[in-house]
Amino acid sequence: MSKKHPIIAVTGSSGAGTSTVKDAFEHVFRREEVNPAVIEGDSFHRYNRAEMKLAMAEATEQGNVNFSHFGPGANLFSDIEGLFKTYGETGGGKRRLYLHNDEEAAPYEGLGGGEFTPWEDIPEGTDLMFYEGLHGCVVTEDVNMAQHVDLKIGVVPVINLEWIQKIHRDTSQRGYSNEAVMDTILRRMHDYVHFIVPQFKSTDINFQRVPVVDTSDPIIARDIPTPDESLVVIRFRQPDDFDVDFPYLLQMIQNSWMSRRNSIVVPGGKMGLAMELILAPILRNMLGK
Amino acid sequence: MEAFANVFRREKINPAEVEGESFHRYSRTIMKEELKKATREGNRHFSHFGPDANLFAELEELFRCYGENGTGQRRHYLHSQEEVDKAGIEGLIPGDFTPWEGLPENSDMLFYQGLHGCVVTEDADVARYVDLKLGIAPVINMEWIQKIHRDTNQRGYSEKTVINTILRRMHEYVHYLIPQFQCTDINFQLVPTVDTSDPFFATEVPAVDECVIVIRFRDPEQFGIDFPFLLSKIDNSWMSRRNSMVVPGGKMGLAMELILTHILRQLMDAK
Repeated sequence: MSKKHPIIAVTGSSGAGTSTVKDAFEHVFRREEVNPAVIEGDSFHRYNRAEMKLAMAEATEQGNVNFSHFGPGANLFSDIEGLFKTYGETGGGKRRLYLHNDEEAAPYEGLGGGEFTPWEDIPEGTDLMFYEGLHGCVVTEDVNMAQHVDLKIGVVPVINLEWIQKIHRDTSQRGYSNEAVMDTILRRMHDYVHFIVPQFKSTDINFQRVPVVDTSDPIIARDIPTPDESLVVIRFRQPDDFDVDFPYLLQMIQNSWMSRRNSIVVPGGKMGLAMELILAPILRNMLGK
Repeated sequence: MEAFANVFRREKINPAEVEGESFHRYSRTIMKEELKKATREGNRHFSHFGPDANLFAELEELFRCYGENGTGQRRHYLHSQEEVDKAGIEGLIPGDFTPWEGLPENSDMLFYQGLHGCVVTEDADVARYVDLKLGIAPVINMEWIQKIHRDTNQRGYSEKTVINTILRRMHEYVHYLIPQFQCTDINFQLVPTVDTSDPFFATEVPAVDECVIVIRFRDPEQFGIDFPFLLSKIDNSWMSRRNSMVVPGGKMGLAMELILTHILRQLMDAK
């Protein structure tokens, strides 16, 4: 499947382990001397933070109770697809950055946290595109990201865990009340079910973090389960596509086991190791090395 | 709950059983009407999970009454024609309730199994009368897979209809079902070790052997839980937190019987 301008999309919500994936990819990129064009999903939000607040207020006023960052109303889906298509064909395309906070915005004159940098060309000579965000494999009536992506990776927590993480972050770091966070979760549920979840049926490899501590009430769970308190389920849609060598993985990753013919379970702390073992050969193959 | 039936039989305990569905407010026919009415009136959250469709106050009253003097009122919800025939009461159809009746006399304990055994709302506090509160909580992905399977395969609904039902019930699920698990004494949580990231696509419900069970004791000392004993009896079990153990899915029954025998004996002795 060697291709001139391959695209890798890591699709998943933050906190699910996307940072572990990012680190694993960075290690592999460095070791394999791969120069990626990195795309962050939130740079394709339709609105900057201030505009989003207005758009949200307007949606609420108009009785739209489902407006959220998960759906097409708040994202530039067709631009993501366009970028994937262009990059796959030419190795070029336009990108921008979303500046999460003032620190990130400091180098950009006139911009503050919550704003975008201007669109600019992707540097020339990159080896592949690396997308990381919520919408790498969206397929709707109007757009189809998935068809342009050569390696589709899903990083998914079970929902209880995802809620715990969101509730934690929003209450302890951002000062929201439990109730406000729960309202947000419920408001986003419709888009979550219709736009985020269906992506994971087309992904080539899913990494799913599964807690082995009680998460039955995500709202009161006081601590986010640590990696040691979780397992990672790794599922290959078609193990043959990537010549996955399960006996090798089972040998290399202590306490791992097979739970289905295409699924391997590894201890939570071994997620990074498992990713590097799995990704390096796939990447080499992809780049025809 | 086979584990309970086994322990009751072996320990010669005679339970008065109460099914959660018998405290639904409406029969199947009327529920359909009420749902239509709620939708017409713009209430998008009406569901079997919340207070409008259940008799929370009556359930609380049953628990209070039984705790005081071992009596109380119960009825049965008739799921199928078979159950209707068995009840043998003229004029009832599947989805109806039998008339209220007194609990059988001389039972040793009341055993409630349903969705609302520990509900606390502004108007009703069911939890306060319960001596042993057990939560059986799957992770949500798993619960959705099970519902989608059952409703599409056995009941012939379209997937879209089931997804809409799940979303409609979400509000009450979060506000009435989930909070119960913070007051339960022991939670048994079924955790799949196969991919459930798209619950709406998973072709099979994860089998028991494809799951692990997380068992959490709110306060292990309350019942004198002997973890080393449990760990030695249950092959491949391990501790994940000071009050939580993990057992292979196939050992759920064994784990429950070991734990429950120990606790039910204490409850009987305390009478």
